[in-house]
Amino acid sequence: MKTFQVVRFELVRNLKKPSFWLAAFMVPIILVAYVMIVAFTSYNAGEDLTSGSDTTALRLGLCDEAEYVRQYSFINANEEEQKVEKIATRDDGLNAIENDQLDVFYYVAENFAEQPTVEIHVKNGEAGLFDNYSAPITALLTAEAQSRVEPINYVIIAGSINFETTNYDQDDNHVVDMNETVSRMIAPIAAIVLFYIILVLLGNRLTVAMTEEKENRISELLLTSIKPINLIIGKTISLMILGIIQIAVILIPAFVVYRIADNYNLLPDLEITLDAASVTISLALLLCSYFMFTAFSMLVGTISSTARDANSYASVLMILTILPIIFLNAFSAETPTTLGYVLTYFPPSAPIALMLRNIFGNLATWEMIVGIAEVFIVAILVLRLAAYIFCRNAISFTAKINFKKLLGAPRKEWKN
Amino acid sequence: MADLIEVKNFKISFAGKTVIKNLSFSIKKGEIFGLLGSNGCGKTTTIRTLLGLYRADGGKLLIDGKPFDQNSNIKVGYLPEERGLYKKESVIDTMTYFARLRGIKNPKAWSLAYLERVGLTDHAKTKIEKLSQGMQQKVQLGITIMGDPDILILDEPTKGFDPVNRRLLMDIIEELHAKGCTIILITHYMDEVERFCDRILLLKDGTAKAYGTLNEVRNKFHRRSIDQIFVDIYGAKEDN
Repeated sequence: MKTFQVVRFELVRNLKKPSFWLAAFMVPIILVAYVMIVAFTSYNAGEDLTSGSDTTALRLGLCDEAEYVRQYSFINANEEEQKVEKIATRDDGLNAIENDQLDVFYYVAENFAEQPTVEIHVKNGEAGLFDNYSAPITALLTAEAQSRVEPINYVIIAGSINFETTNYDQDDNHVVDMNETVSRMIAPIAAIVLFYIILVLLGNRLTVAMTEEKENRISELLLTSIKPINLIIGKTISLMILGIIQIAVILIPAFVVYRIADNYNLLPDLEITLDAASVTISLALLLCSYFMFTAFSMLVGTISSTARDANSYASVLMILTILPIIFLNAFSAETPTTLGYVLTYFPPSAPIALMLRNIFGNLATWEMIVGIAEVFIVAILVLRLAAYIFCRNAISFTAKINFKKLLGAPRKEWKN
Repeated sequence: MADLIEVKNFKISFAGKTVIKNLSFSIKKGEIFGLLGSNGCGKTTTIRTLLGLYRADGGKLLIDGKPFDQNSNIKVGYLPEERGLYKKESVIDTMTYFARLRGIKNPKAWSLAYLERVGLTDHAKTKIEKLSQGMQQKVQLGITIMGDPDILILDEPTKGFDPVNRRLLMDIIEELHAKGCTIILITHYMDEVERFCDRILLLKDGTAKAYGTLNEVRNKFHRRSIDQIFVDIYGAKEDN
């Protein structure tokens, strides 16, 4: 019951803080902005290559002294065929612009093959168009170029070849295609990205969670009302819930963006299917990893007297946690190196090591089970150790920690 | 009156230095007990050990026959010497949190009633850090006396208190005492001792130098005031 009160208090006061929501929504906002920019850019780029902007209302003229263009029409933004007037000379074209007979005049010089430049002359350039007058002539020239070579040659030159890769396992009988590979990797990648985001956004909150009472001299007042283990469990649960809220705040908008992007065909042409096993394993790894990181952060808080001390210890913890990313090569091969195995079972680095191996597909099922069990059990042991130390260090308001005394001697004051 | 608190052969040392040597005393149910002595004599250490914050090297420290337990039926209110609050939280949220931890029914109503009594109703939603020192003391006092504790431990309670809050504290001590609350008062102010305490324990270098009712102690030292006895024991040069 008292543990529940701690959870409630810690949750409510964190959820009331604008800084929590600012941090929580920062990632989805960046994600949405990125997707919108990419979508907008690709939409415009698509228009450039096809028919340009809305040129329907424009009177277009072309003088092609190189006699390269043979067909004086193209498909415009309205998917209609739009004519381009053939102009005999450059001067005629300029006069037509001057006399308001043309809106845009294109001039292709005789030496176009040696010097591929097109002059574009525009009447009233601000007349309601994007600055995109090159689109019609690009469409004409592209169509002409396409018609002059074998279609396959054009495809090759344009880099529009489709690749279909088929992989075989060691027994040469299991075929893994691209879609399957992406489908297998997507949940583990999402798990490691989310774990990293949580570490960045909530790391400091986790670290100082146990120093606040000491810094504000509340420990004595508090410990006459609640047992240290209940306090620590309550704080851990509340921080776990905050992490889950953080994950939800990222995943829900990400899912919405995915659906929108899928509807507008902005995604690569892959048949991605998330299988339940992959998602479950990744989620279990993510939650256990976050649980263990929270437990270690609690430990850091209990051995520190101030937030500053705690942050120093937390830096070491963070480095140990991301060691597998620093030694990425140890995991990327078909079989991890010895260092890869060491980092897989070294508790602080185990979460990211397991996640990386899950991504690279070299984590056997039994290793996965052992790894998750190890992370979970270590988290509980660390939490118990944190409670043990908190009992002995809760009213050490200023002193530096003495590990030998802390772990060996009875509960006493350390500011000798 | 029966003994509610019993300390027997209590010993504790830090870094090889003995702070308390074989200390024994008892506190009766419903009395106001003064724990006196100069700075560093072991008063706070004794209380912290009684409340399980330190572990004794030897002896027993019992409340109602058992070591202190936060979940015991005997409710303990403790105003420590080192006291603070959650600075970033509002007064009402802080008080309600502690009230819930103490198992008070209608924690918010209790907190608001207390705030009204001490004139802080308008500050219920104010963050603690925005309160004056005196206002914070009132909040700390409120948390200490929540739920009518059976034992109230006040470690230098009037240290830093303004006269208004000191008056308030005195009233609360008298009120709780009238309800049968056992009070341990750690103080350097001998006028408070003379006014409130039924019995006292005067510590020096971790040992009991005087123990008993005020009259017993006065008679033993042939002095008319506790202040004089304190000076006799510690010497006139001691900074009290």
